[in-house]
Amino acid sequence: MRLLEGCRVLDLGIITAGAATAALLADFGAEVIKVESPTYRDPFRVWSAQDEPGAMPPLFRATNRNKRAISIDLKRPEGQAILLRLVRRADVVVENFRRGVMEGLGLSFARLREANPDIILASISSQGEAGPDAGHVSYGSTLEALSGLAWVTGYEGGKPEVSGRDVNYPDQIVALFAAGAIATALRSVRNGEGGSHLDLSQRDLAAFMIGDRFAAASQGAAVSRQGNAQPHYPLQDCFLAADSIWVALSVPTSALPLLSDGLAVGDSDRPDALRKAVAAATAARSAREAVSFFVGLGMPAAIVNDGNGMMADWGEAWQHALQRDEQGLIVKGFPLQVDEAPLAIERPAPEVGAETYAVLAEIAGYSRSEIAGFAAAGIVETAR
Amino acid sequence: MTARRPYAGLTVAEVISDAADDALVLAAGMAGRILADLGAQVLCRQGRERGFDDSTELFLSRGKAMSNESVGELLGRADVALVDGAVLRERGRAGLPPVTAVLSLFGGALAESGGPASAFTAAASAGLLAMVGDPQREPLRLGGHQEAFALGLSAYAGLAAALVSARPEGVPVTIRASLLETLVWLNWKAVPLEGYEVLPARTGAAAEWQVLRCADGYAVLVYQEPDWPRLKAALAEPALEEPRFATRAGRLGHLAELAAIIERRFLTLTRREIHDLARQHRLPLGPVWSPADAFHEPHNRARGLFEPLGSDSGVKAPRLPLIWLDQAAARRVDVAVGAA
Repeated sequence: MRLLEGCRVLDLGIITAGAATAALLADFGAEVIKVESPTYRDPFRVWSAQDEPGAMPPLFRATNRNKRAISIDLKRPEGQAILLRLVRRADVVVENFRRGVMEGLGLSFARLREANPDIILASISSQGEAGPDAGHVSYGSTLEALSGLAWVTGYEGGKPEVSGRDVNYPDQIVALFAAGAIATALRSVRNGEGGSHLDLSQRDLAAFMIGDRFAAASQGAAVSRQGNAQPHYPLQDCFLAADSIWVALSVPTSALPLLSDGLAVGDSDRPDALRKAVAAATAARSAREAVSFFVGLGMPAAIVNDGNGMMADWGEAWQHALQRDEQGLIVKGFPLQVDEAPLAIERPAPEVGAETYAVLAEIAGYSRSEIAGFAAAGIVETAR
Repeated sequence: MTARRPYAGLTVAEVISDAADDALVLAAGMAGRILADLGAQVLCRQGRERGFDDSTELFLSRGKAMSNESVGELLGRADVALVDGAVLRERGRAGLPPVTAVLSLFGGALAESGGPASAFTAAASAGLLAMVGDPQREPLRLGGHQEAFALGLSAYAGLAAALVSARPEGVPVTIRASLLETLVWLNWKAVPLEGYEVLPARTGAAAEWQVLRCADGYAVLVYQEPDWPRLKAALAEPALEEPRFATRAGRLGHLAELAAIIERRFLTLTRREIHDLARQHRLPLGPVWSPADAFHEPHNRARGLFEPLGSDSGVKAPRLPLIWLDQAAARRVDVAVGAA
């Protein structure tokens, strides 16, 4: 039995933060129904580098596998009524719209709870439900700046750095945390505590992820950027190999004498000499040879992979973080696995409204003629 | 606002073997910290030397207790465990609690027998280092303990799903969470997805989003295509009206010059002024607050973001980033914000 089997999620999540949270719930076995609108699509449906008309963009395909899809016009009262009928038969609603959009659609938590006292509304936002910046527009790297994460990222003595638009780190980690928080809230409902509205702020989470740096700062420590250095690694950095590929190396204190001997540095207490020797040893070898050399001395070392390098390690150093769908195309996989209830890709990402008919009939209990009427009036949209 | 404690009554054991890398101790510590905040009694095995600083220890140990029981005793009475592969091998699955997360550095074929690795080398393998920093310089890690803490989030997500599953009592659930799987999952956009001919990589001064200097520090220039007209209006910088910046393609071809012009304008503004400008024009610009700044930020204060870590009320860190709102409490928060 899969872990969240029997749980039903209405996924109003878009782009990464909301949609990836719901995807994880689907991976755990929840029935996740992606809700779009005839007038509003998940923006990932149009963010594409491909010119091929009709092709599902890779970003959407990767983030929305394992979901069903319906399309309801939530701006119309009739559409809202349909959604609320689904809420009665659901456990969770996930959303990451701009703050105020849910209320503007007449879908506040109060209204959802009227429909279902045990409903969990997971509101994943940039900066939370309340606070003077709650309405401030932001993307992942904005939040790295505001949270303090950018302050502690950077070269020693250099300016702060962010993960940038191709990583958007806060958008990624929030899906891990929010999926856990929703599962925790489901337990709370099972404990008889009723539904809840979860305020999940990416800015709060990014700050929590450097909680130790805040603890240091509150004790008067000068918290600053350290490049690649970390405590208890007398030497940790990237070094350029002969083939112009970077090699990452962590030298623990216990390995210093061995490394000094291996490189004939002499005195392992001379960090500058050791760094120079490591740089020279790396520069004299290909990246692969350099990694073998350092690993042979018992030291953590790895090639700094680009995307192709990551793919080359698939199966060897990692297995399930990415998957291929039934067409053989790459989609997001799983950050973890479960021995007794393996996570798997069981269905590809859906077209808009692919199961509007089925979901409204099976779950909401509408008749075929009612659904046809909604479709004719443009309140719902069915797959073409 | 009420904080629920759905894990009250559960005992969680953090047991990472002495030989394991610190990244696994940090990851278990993060997952355990979250479970403790949500009501679990979390016990850490005493004795293992830890290779991180006191502030990290203080942050991760909030709400937990140290145990001097033997590993067998501790695991014998726990409902949930966070362990590494060596503990699993030594105890066997039957010697571990029904719900157990097994943490490792590698996944795949190397999950059981990977060579030496650290959080830093895992970030290299997962392509994350290649995404951050200046392309003319060495690849750069994110600050703090992002890799290990992200693994902690993975483990928490798996344990939370296990703890709500409707499985029959006593049926085990074993979560396998590895550092490399988690990091590859986070960095999924770096792989060659179909239709994307250029692999993403760090672009430094040629990035569309980058950190620029301002009058009293730094601010991040972040914007999407629809934001451009409002960005121009907000900055009121005539040079931004030049034809070469009129289209995204044009801007991509002149990113360094564009950044220099915007930085010149930023240097006339403080971070607070940039923040106010961003709010006024609905722009995603981000002033870079230091941790010391963040303690005093009105938004963080209104949200009660910081809490004491122990008996000394002056030692603070962010609370769990989860607020349980109910209707009445939500109204109270709105009122408080309106008054701020």
